Amino acid sequence: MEVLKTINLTKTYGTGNARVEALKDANISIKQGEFVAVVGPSGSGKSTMLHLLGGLDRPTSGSVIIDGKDIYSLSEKERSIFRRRKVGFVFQFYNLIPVLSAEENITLPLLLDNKEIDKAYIEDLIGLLGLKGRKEHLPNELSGGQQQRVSIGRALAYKPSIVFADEPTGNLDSKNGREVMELMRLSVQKYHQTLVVITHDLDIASQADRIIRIEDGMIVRDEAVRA
Amino acid sequence: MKSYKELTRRYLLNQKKRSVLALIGIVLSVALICSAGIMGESLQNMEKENIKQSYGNYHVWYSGVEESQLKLLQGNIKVDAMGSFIPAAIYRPAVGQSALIMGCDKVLAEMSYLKLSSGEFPQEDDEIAMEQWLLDNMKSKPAIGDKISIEIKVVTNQMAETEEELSNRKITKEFVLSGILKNKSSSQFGGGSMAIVTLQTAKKIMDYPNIKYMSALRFKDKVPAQKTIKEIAEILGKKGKDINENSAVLALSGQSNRSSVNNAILIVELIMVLVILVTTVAVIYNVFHISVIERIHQFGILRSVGTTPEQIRRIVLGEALILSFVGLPLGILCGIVAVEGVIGTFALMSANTLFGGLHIIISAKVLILSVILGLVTVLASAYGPAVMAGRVSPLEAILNSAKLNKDKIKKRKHPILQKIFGIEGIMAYENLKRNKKRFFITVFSMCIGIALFIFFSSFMKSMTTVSSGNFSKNYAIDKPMTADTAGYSPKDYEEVAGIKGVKTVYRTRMQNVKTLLTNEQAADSFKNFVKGKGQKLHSKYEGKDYFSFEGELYGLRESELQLCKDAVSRGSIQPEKMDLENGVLVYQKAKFDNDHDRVRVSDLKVGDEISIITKGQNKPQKMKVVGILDNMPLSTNTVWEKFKIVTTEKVWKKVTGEDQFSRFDIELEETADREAVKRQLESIQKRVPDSRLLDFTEVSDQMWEIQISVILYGLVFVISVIGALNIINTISTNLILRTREFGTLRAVGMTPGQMNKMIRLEGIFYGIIATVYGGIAGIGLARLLYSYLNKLKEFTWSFPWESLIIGGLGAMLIGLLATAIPLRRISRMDVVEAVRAEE
Ligand SMILES: Nc1ncnc2c1ncn2[C@@H]1O[C@H](COP(=O)(O)OP(=O)(O)OP(=O)(O)O)[C@@H](O)[C@H]1O
Ligand SMILES: [Mg+2]
Repeated sequence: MEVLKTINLTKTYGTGNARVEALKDANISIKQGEFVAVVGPSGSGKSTMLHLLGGLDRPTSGSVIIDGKDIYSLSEKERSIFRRRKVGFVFQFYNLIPVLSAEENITLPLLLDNKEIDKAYIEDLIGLLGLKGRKEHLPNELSGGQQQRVSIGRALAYKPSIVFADEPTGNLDSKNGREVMELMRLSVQKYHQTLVVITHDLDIASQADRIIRIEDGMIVRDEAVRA
Repeated sequence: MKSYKELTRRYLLNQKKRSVLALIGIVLSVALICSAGIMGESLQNMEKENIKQSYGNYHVWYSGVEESQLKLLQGNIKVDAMGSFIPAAIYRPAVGQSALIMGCDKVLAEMSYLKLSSGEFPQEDDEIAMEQWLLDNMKSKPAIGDKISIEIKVVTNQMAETEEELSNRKITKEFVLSGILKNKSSSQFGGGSMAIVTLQTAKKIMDYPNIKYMSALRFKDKVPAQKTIKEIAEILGKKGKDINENSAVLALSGQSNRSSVNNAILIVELIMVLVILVTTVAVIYNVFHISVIERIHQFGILRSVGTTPEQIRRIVLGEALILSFVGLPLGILCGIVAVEGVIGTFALMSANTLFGGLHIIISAKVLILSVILGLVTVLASAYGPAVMAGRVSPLEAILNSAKLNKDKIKKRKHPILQKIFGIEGIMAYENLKRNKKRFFITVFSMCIGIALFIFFSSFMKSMTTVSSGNFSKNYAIDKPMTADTAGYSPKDYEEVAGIKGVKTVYRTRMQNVKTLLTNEQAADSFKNFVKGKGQKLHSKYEGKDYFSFEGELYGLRESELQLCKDAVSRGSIQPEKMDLENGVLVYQKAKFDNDHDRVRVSDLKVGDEISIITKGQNKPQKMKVVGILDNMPLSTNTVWEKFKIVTTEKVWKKVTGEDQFSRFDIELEETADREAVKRQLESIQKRVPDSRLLDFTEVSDQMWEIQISVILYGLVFVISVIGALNIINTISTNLILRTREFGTLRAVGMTPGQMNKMIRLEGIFYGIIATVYGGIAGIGLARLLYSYLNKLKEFTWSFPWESLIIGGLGAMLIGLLATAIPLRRISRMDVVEAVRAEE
């Protein structure tokens, strides 16, 4: 079943000489439960695409359809709420909120919704992420790997249908990186979520169901590695 | 780029908004300092001018000066001006009124306290100038240029003659009225008044050989006055009472400046300037502190390429200096415009109030002082951040992440906050506390605003209460009953009440009586006081021991008694019952002398009996306490508070055996001709010896209150604006420092609405916290003021809820408004941009 589809998704920055076509007429379709790796050289437009897919940015033209809805036809508020509930983001630089504890950072999307927290699920998640003993810690009291695990927890807290990760292991050593990746895959599988990961790590890419390769803003390859 | 110093300019331009913010801060504070200075100097000058006007603008006068000596004085190089006069005759238009006719030269007329209201000082023979009220009393109502013929008694030798001798020298003389002198209140009320003629005319009237002069001298500036007075006295051969110093003016020339008014103004001004400086330091420091924090990475790079800490300090201080060059002149200008505008308007509004005659003086001294103070403040506030910038290590450039978590964050739980404000509330609250120092500085200036607001409103309130008792409305005439002479008669009352324009006359009967208290009735504090002072306050009457001391017995009509109602804490006012059983209300506190505070004298309760001994009697009379007064609703003419016993007129008449009044308080109709009423009251006052006329019209003039309020609250307002600047600054900085955080929040689904709420709450929380601390400080100050004033007169302390609430709401509003500017930027924030933001 298809969860995400783009139609001629295009993003250009600047005008005239400074004009950069970061993404050109991207048409992709991602199925429920798929693990997609996005690869490509630096500056090729990977992050640009990911941000557009997750509703963080606005495309120059084209549309993104998630669960049958064109997310850029929504108002800013609606899109915020959509992001909160339907998608999760994991960034390279963790981007945790320094004044909130690990557990609060994880539950932030729920807190923003004033939603009753599914304690069992969160406990489960925290256990899965190996953060049991670190719940009350503030981000600056956590290691890089732990911080990234917190941000994964945050991405998963609302049980979103899609998780986007932009070089989630880029800032970690290989051991930590593997652990984090493993965790992401495990949890996604467990809750039947879709995972889109940008990575330079071929090792990670090779574990994916599908690899999308971008060069100069264009999708040059899109193939299923596994069925 | 020619020098690294060019960086200073680039940084300033690069951070335009912040520079503007700092500039506004500097301009406002310099404007405040400058206008406080101008105001202070102008008020001081007005005070000096007032003193010169009312005491005469001279330093000394000598009496009995020979005609031959006049030249000597005139030629003295230390003398700036000399004028002479001769008392020539006395004019008595009516009983109790008298005017001295003096011959004087023009110089004297001009340096004396006499002021022309129209016409000119006499110059020709037989010309005369008189005070207005003397002319008003004449049947012919003469105008300038008219001939007036009056009966005068000629004095000869320096007014040494007796009344009897004088009455032998009655002559009738015709003068030509050349000018009208302004009424001088002291001469009017004191019964003595002035009319002046030329020296020639005086000599002609007196027709006496070897007339001696009285000569007044004003010395040149910088001449040591006291010494010169002695020198000249020696030249003239004068001693003792022939030398009359004008001590008020001497005090002004600075040698022994004992003017308490001047000191008070100076102290108030110092406090104001101090407060202004402190707030300025807070803003400027905050601006620079933040701008340095933002640039730590850049300073790190500068350091890594070889910039010395000193050079970095110079870059930052250079920024402060440039801002000062722009801000100081602007601030001075604003200050001048503000004073001219506000005071100028006040001066136009009415001539009769504090600022009526105020001549605004803008001296170079004040301006230069403001510039120096401003410059020092700005540089001093920027110094700390400059040093901090210099300490940045080159490593910070390389260690990318060094900057962000300088803030020490501690975690606490806030279940209540969460309940009320949700997650946004918690985050707003936690954000506030991230950086203790910045938080403190930000809240600090708001605290000052609130504290001042509360203090000033209490001050204004006590000013209105202090002015007088319940009865004091427009005028009063009163008379100390201690004097042997009789008080006002019922006929006087009829006359006062009958004056056209008088609405109500509150009449007071008061007699000093000996009050007797038994040992049980006397309060411990009083017993201790008596013991401590070793005062003999014991007496024996009819075989019993009493504490005996002076109290005041008041007799009031029912309508006046009812005005005491609010002051009665126990018991009640029932005039009929009081009539029957000698019922009295008592005020149980008294101040016995200058060195001691007020003491509580007795512990009387409703139903107790006390004894009093009225004037001219020796048998105590029993009075029954029917009520306790908590403060003094009565206007009194005594310096110190005394034990008060208040009863009905009937009882008063019965126990004193008299039928007189000690005081009339007069309330006028809206439409009354104040001057006419005042003149009629004056004639009654003059008829009754020892009595005086009090004019509350000016004191209670609401204009005064409004004007003071405008100035005080104006100060509060400007300080609040400075406080708001600080909040704007802090919040916008937080925004910049936390761009990535805000971006992330948006990325994980915080709606713009929720983000607005969070940031607005942050502003409001600043207001709330400032209210807590500022409130404590302000109430503390108000309490101090209260205990100080309470020594002078009894006040009831009331907790300043009203100003606390108004101040608190104001602070929250300012906090909220201060977030408006940063919010605009946040709403324009690009989420992608923000989450990717490089450190
Ligand atoms: N805000 C912007 N303004 C102008 N150009 C931009 C902007 N953001 C991205 N670009 C350009 O768009 C192109 C794609 O950028 P993008 O960040 O998507 O690359 P990327 O594939 O994620 O690279 P990397 O692997 O280094 O993260 C780049 O050429 C970049 O310079
Ligand atoms: Mg990228």
